[in-house]
Amino acid sequence: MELLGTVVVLTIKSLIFIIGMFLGAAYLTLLERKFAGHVQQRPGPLHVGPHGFLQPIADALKVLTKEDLVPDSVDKVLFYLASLMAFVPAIMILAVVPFGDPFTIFGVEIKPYITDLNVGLLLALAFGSISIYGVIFAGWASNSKYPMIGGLRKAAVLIGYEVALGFALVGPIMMAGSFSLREIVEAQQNMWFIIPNILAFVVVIFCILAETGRTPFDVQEAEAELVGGYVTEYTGMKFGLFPLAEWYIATFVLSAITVILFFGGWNPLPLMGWLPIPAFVWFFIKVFLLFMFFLWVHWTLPRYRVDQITELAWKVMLPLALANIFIVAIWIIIFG
Amino acid sequence: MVKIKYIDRPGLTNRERVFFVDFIKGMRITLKNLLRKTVTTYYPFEKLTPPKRFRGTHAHRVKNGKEPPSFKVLEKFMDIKEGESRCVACYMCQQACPVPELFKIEAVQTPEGKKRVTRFDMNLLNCMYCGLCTEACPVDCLIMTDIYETASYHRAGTVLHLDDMARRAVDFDSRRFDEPDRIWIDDQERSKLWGQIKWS
Amino acid sequence: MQLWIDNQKLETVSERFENINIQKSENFTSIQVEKNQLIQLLKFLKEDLGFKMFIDFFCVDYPLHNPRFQGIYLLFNPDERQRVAVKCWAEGDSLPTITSLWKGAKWAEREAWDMFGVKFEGHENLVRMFLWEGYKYHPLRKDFPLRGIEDTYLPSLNLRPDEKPAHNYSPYHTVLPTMEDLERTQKARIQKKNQIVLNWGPLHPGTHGTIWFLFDMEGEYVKECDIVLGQLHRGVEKIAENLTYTQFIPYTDRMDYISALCSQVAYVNAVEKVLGVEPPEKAKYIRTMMCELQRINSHLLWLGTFALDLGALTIFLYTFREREKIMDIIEGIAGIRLNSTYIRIGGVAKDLPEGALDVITHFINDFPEKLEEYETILTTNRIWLRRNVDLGIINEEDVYSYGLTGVVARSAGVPYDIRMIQPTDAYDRVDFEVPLGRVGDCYDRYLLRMEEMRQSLNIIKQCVEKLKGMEGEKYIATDNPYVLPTLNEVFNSIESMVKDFNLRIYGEQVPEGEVYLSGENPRGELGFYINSKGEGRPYRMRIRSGAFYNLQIFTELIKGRTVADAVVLLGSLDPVVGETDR
Repeated sequence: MELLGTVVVLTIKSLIFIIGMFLGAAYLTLLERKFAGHVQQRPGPLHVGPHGFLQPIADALKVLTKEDLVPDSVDKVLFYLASLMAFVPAIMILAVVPFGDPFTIFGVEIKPYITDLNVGLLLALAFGSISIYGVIFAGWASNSKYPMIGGLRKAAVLIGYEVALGFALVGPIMMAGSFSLREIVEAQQNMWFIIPNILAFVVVIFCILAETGRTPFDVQEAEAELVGGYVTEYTGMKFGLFPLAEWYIATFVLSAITVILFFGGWNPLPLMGWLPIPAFVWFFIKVFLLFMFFLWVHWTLPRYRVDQITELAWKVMLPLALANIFIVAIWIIIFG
Repeated sequence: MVKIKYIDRPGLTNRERVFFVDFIKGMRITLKNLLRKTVTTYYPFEKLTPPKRFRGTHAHRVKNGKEPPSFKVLEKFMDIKEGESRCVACYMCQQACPVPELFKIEAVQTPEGKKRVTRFDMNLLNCMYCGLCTEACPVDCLIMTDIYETASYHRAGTVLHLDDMARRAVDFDSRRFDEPDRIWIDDQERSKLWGQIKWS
Repeated sequence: MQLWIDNQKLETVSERFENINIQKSENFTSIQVEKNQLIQLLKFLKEDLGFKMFIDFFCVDYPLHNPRFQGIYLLFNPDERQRVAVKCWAEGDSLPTITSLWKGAKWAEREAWDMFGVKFEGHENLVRMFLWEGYKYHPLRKDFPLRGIEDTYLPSLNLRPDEKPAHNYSPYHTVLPTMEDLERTQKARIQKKNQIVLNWGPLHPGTHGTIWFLFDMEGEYVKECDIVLGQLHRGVEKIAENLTYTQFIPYTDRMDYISALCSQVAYVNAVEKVLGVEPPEKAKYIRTMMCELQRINSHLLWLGTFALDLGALTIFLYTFREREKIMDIIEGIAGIRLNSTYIRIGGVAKDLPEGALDVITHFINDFPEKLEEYETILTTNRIWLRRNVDLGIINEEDVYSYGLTGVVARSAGVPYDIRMIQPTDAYDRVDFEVPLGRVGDCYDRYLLRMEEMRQSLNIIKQCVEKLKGMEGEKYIATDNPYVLPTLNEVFNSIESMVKDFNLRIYGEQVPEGEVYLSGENPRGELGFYINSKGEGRPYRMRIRSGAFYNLQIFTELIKGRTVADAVVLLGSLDPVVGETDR
């Protein structure tokens, strides 16, 4: 009976998370378009609803009702699988991301996370990498030259940044002594992990930009070189899932993990703990700011070449991540 | 005087490289622009008025008492009533046009021995809007208006005819004939993009 | 100012070679030579007399003469700033190739084969330049009709059966290439030797128009490259032979549509030269000012698209914001934003309107700040540096061999700027600096164009000052018999009307002769060769396009680089398809 209860609660919770993330991602598109618009001195979406507020819904309807073209020569199974491969793992990372401490409403204890695994961080990393397979599959399955180059570029970039990312995450783990994201947050109540881990933070920012394919690392799409890269042959919602997964859901979820690792999760900002703001609001404020930072970078910088990214990953980011481990080790020895 | 100068190649110092000074500077610019006002015109809800010299679709000025002296000379050979197109069928517009086949001009002799223009078609699909025809018109008849929305569902819809050309010119002149020859007249609307201009 | 070869050199040539015929005139100096001596003469000119820069090669068709075609080579001596033309009759409809002397002749010879059917002995790959393999005609021959041979039935898709759209509608068109033709064209250009042949274009966001690149690639590295041009080929040179000189002005806009005013000025200057018309002082300053506005406009478009190609999306909108202002200015003065048709033989079409100088003053005060913003985002950005520095290095030898002009030549340190070596209009009365690069890579070309925008601003400032004191002066030299009268004169005087009728109907009766004159387009030297037989229309008009020759070196520079570098290289060479294809 208890098991059944857990299953029901978990199912409801997962549904809330997934639907919430869907709607959230839809409105993140609006946020990005508005931000990009105003950065470029234009207003962005304006006419569907007040200040374009209903634009994401119009977009979704448009993408869903578009004719779904599948070219003759594609590998059908992989072609369909690819868009799911990109999308599902990105949203599955949510399973291990905690949004706050457990709290009690009307006598019921509510945990604002799906599960608190003791290897949560590893799982998040693993899902993040699987999501990239979607891109590589899409490139290969399309049976076309531009998508294939796009997919191969992504594969090359993946190998570079994954190693650095793995090493960069060692620092916070060492300081917290746990892989559980909740425990990492709890370990930061007095001091955020950004302080000794600043190098790791730089590496992680690099890796998130590379993983989500945002400028300056959007080599797999690079519309000026490869038309649309791996999505060239896709249409309709199959096409829509890729940017939704990569640019919005993955960016958002990875921002959340970065906040947990380096910015104290749902702990309030220093000296502002007295404000009557719930923990998860703090968390969302931080995630939102980090997400805006990614947008800001995206709409400012030009793009690297693919060999320059791998060069950067191996020659700069990997040594930085290793140096970070060294620094953190010394820090732990000195300050306990 | 013309001088030759070699360009310096600015580089990035190591300190700038380590602290991402180049990125921060660039991102400051985008932030600065984020705080500026938008400069766009919300077409089709807002429209800028084209300058008077704008070369839109063609029109025929009508006989309305404001004709130049050259028309007075030619008028006596023509059968033109008040309010009708001033065209004297001299074919100069067609002569001046780089794509002359876009014109189809026909005139007949009336029983009184006068000339009457019966057809003046312009196929604007072939038109470059270069304005050479309006410069060739000796009686100030063929002009170019400020109408620029010319989309049509069929090819036939882009052909101008004698009567609608006269109507357009009446409309155009009633709006803009007395306007001074100024670079533009809607300073208010354009200030969104331009800011405040100091007029002399 | 004339730049033709001096008498001393001509004497050296005539001492050395027999059977040559030197034609010397004010606007054009040519050496006619027998076919068997052509290579020796060109070699002599290149190596001993310093005419080492290749400018242009083209043919002229004389249907009644035997041999029928005459090839004309234009060379330039960069040290002493002299030009020379070499003429040679193509006996047996063929000429020896000069690609061993100047690599830049490769495409020019292909174009001559395409347009005239003149063969070149020893050419490495003599295929068509603009048209497709399997096309039967050579369209620039005099016996080819202007409208082409309309034998393909292609009715309008949205046409009702009973409807006749317009009096000049015809469902018959000239022949179109089939898929097989295109495949043959592709095979003729490049043979697959490596992993894949990538068709980069003709419709591709990175190619700035409709250029069809063929990359034979090993992984992502390009090993062989060729370019298929012609998607925008409209036969402008053929059209010119059938129009009066004034009627051709709108077509010059449509070649390099991004810098229409510069093209108009270059063309009108050449016509004025051969007609002997001198425009009034005010017109000269207006032309110079408009040219420089157009140059800024063109460079802004280049900067925006270049940054867009490199992934910096926002710069594109920033440059278009400023470009929109220039468009507003041009629209207010000329009447149309892009293809303005503002310059006329003998002056400009209309006087500056009220308030124009105020608006331009506002722009030149406002623009430096914006230029500073672009530079802050890009110039020292590490990504920008890594993508641009040491990519596509061009040296002085390449410049002469390929006939590179404009910014591409100046980036290699060659001070070749037509505004400086042969100033037309008011360029000899304004102060400006010609920026030169030291390395010749993409970064230098970027810096040069940014600096040119500043210099243009400087020139505009001087012109505005000058024009402020010229209010009410004449803007077109209508007292010259070759210049069309203004509307006001036609309305009020019968003589003007008759003159207007004559010039419109018969065209400007240009005296017999030849002229080559060029202008400094934002994309390089835009030269006009006009061969007049004393009629109202040119017998042959050759347009020497800067972008056409600049694009040619792309195939060499891209070898061994990736596709990602191709966009940078192409962006920094900055071709406009309207001008490469004409």
